[in-house]
Amino acid sequence: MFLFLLLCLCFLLNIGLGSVDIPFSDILKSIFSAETQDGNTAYIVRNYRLPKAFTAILVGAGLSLSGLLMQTLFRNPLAGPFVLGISSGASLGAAILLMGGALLGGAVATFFSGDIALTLAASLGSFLVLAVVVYVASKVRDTLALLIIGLMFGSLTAALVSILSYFADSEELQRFIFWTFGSVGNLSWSQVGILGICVIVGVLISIGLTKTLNSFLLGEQYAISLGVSIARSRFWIIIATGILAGAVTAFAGPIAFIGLAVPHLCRQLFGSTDHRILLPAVLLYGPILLLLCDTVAQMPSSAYVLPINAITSLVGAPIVIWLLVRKRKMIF
Amino acid sequence: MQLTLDSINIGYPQKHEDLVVCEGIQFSANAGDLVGVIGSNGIGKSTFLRTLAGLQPPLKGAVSLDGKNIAVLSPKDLSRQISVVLTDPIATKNLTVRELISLGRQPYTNWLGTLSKDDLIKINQVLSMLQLEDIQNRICYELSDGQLQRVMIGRALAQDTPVIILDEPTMHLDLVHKVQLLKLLGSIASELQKLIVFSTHEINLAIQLCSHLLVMTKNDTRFGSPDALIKNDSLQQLFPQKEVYFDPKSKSFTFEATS
Repeated sequence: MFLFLLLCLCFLLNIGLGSVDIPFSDILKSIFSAETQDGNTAYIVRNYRLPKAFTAILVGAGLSLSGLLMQTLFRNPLAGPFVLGISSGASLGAAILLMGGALLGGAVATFFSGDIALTLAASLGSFLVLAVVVYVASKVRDTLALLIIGLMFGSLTAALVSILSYFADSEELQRFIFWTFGSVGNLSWSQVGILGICVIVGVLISIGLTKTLNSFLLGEQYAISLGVSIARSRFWIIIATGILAGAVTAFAGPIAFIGLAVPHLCRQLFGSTDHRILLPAVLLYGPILLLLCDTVAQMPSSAYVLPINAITSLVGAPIVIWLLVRKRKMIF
Repeated sequence: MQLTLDSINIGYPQKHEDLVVCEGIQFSANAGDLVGVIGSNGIGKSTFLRTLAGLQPPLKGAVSLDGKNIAVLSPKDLSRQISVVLTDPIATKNLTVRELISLGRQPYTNWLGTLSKDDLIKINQVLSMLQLEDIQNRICYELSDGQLQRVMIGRALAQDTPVIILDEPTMHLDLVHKVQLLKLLGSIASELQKLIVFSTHEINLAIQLCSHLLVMTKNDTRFGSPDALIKNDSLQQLFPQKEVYFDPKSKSFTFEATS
C-alpha cells in the first residue's frame, strides 16, 4: 500500500518536472479537466509528459520482472533480462536498419527510416535471437549451458553490430548511438498502448508461473519431484522474458541495470525469496526506480536531457555494490 | 503399498550405444521398510535412486508402484507418491526453515501455492516431529549440515508421500549425527509406515539399522535382509578382499592395521 502511494508520488513528480517549468496546479488541470486555459501546457502534459511517465512505469515493471524471471530460472544472481541475447538481438535489428542502409539500397532505407520502423526492427531482431534461444533450449537440458549460449549469441550479434558501425557514416552511427542510450520519451499514445499490452501479457504469464518459480528455488531435480514439468515451465519463462524485455527494448532501447538491481533490492527489502511477494514487489519498485531515474535524467528546468541509460547505471551499480557490501554476500 | 523393480537396467541413453551403469536389478519393498543401498563409489547408487524416483527413465524394465508403472503417472500424481532428498545443494539457501518445508506441500496447493489449513497442520506436525520448531524461522544458510539435512527430510515428509528416497543423507555428518539420522529414518519408516530407500557409505550402521539392503557390485546386485546377505556371503564381495573384509561375527567390515 505504502509502495503504491510512493509510486503515485513518483509519477506526479515525473510529470511535474521537465524542461519547461509548469506550475503543479496547471498540470493537474490539464490532466483532469477538459477545458484548456493554455494550449501549450496542456499539449506538453498530455502528449509528452504523460505518455513518457506511463512508458517509464511499463519499462520499469517489464525489465524488473524479466530480471526476476531470469535470476530464478538460471539460479544465478547475475542474470538479468538481457542474458538470453535479447538486447543484442534488438540492437542488431536497430543497427541493420540505421546503418545497413547501403546494404538495403537507398530507396528502402528512406522508406524504413521512421521511428516506428526502428521499433519494428528492434523487436524483430530480439525475437529472432529469442526464437533461436528457445529452439536451443529445447535441445539443451543444462540450464547453465543455456545461459552461456545466450551470452555467446550476445557476443555474435555485438560483433555484427561493430562491423556495421565500422562501415557506417557518422550520421548513421550517431543515430544508432542515441538509440543505445535508451529513452522512455518520444512514444505516441498508441505505442504506449502496444507496450502496455506486451507488458500485461508478460505479467499475466508470470503470475501463472508463481508456484513453479518457487519450486525452482530448490533446483530442477527437486522441482521435478514436486510435480513440475521442467521443459514446459522453462519454455513459458523464456517466452514471458522475451515478450517483456523484447518489447521494452524495442520501444525504449537497451536500458541497463534496472532488471538486475530491482529484484535484488526487493529480496533485501522484503527479506524473502517467495515469488508471491517478490512479483508484486518488483512490479512496484521497478517503475518507482525508473521514474526517479527519468526525473533526474531530464534535469528539471534545464533544456538538457541526459541519456537515461547513464542514469540507471549510475543509480543501479551503486545499489548492487551497496547491497553486497552491507550483506557481505549476494543472497539469492 | 509395494515398490517393485523387475530386473531393470539403469544408465544413460547415448547416440550409438546406451551407457549401462547396472543391469538386472531386482527389488521389492513394502511400506515400513528401511532399505539401505550400499556399494563402492561410482557403482551407480545415485543413478539407481534417480531411476527409482522417476527423475530419469530406466533403460530396460519398469519401476512399479503397487503394480503400476511410474512412467505412466503424471508428474503431479508421481509427486504425491515419491519424495526425494538429493545430494545436490538447493539452489537458494535464502529461505527460512518453515518456507523450505512449506514448499513440500506444492503437490497439494492451488495454482498460486496458497497453504490451506490442512497444509499448515501438516507442516506443524513435521516441524514438531523433527524438533525443528525452535529453528523454524532461521534462514537455511545459517544452519549446520546436520540441521539442514533434517530440514530437507522435513520437506520430503511434508510432501506426505508413501515413498521417500534419500541420496547419501549421512554425508558431511559426524558419527553421532549419522546414528541419530539413521535412527530417525528408521522410526519414520516404522511409525508412519513409509518406505524409505537411501544410499550410504556407512555400511556398518546400515547393517545394524536397515530392514533390507541392496548391495551393488560390478557384477550383480543383491537384495535381502542384512542377515540373509551375511549368510550368502554377498557382503564379502562388496570390496576387494585385500583392502577390507567382512567379519560375519561382529557383522561389520574391518581391515588389517598392518599391511
